[in-house]
Amino acid sequence: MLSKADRRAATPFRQALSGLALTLLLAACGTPRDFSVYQETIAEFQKATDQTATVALEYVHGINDVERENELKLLREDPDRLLDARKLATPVLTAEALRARDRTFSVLKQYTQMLADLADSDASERWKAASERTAAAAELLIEDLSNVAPSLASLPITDAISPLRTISNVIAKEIIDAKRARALDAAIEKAAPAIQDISALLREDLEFVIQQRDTLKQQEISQLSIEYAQAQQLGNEPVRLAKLREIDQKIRARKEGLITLQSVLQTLDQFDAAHDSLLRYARSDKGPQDLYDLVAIVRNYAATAEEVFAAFKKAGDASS
Amino acid sequence: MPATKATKSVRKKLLDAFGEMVDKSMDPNIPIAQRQALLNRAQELRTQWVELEAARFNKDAAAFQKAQDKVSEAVTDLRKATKELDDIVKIAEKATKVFGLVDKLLKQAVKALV
Repeated sequence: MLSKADRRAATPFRQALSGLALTLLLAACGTPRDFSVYQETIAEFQKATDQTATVALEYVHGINDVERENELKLLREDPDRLLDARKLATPVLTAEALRARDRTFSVLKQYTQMLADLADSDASERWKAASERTAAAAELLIEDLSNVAPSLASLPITDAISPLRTISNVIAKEIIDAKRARALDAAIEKAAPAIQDISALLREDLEFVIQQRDTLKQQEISQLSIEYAQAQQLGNEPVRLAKLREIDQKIRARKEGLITLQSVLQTLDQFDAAHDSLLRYARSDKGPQDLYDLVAIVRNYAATAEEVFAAFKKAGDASS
Repeated sequence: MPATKATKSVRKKLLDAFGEMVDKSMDPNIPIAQRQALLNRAQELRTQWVELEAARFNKDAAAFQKAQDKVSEAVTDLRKATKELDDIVKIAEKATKVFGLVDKLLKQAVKALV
């Protein structure tokens, strides 16, 4: 015989199952979507953002070193230049300001990682496995009830089983995906203004990086052009020709450097576009065209981010 | 906001002035000594520009912190949603155990009746 305690245990369990069935059925009213494509797109966005942040942070961290190296170079080249040791000892950017960037990008990486993790969660597959085991256990129980003890079939446990049995695995998967999609949409919506702010701030930092490096190259070319004129005036042909070669190399290097740095800024433009499209999709009716637009923009961003990241790594490998 | 804009405008003017100086310092029609003087002046302008940019960079740390806090909130929400999905699955997993337990109890009850 079942004890009173067992019967009492069966009642809240039945209520919990009924509640779960209702919650899940309500959630099923959410907009259907091709969730696997959405999952892949979020994963692509996550990877591309990670690559963009890595490259951008590396350049930002280089600002202090570039300035210090420039000061040392000027001191080496100009014997009359006054040495201000404070300039060498004190970096232009404070450690706190650099840490603020590091922390922000660490949180941004966490955010995109969590988006990707939640999108890629195997909850619906685990539900399917668990519900299959539950259904088998429930069937066995009902069979036992009707075969060996028909009088026990009137116990509340048979009622408790029924809500769970009404949820098919197909429906459950859609329900879990819809619930998950709504959580993703809500998070994207909530983080959007802050992410737009971060992007705008990072843009200013990167513009600083580009101009900082380019102005140094302009100075170098100008100095070389003056040295060329001096050699020309003195009739020193070997020096004049050497300076001409140097000027040519520096002009080419400046051009290449600008293209590389501008590509980082273009990646940031595409990050903005991809993030905007994620936000638009979160707010949309999730029609096929909405999904198509999202996929196209994110893929474009991912391809550029991958290219810039590879070029950055190659440049790093070459210089090390 | 106006102060930030003014600073940005000053920074841009400085950078433009630097560009003009460098440009002139490369003009072959200007005497060499004057070209060198123009380049030296351009270097000074650049140093001032870097100082202003660095000040902006260091000041922006607070804005980054503010944005970071907002994104952290979204991360917390995502963690919560992930946990909720796990909890749903756990209910199904627990249901299996409960049905097994009830079946076991049922068989014990039948044995006792027989």
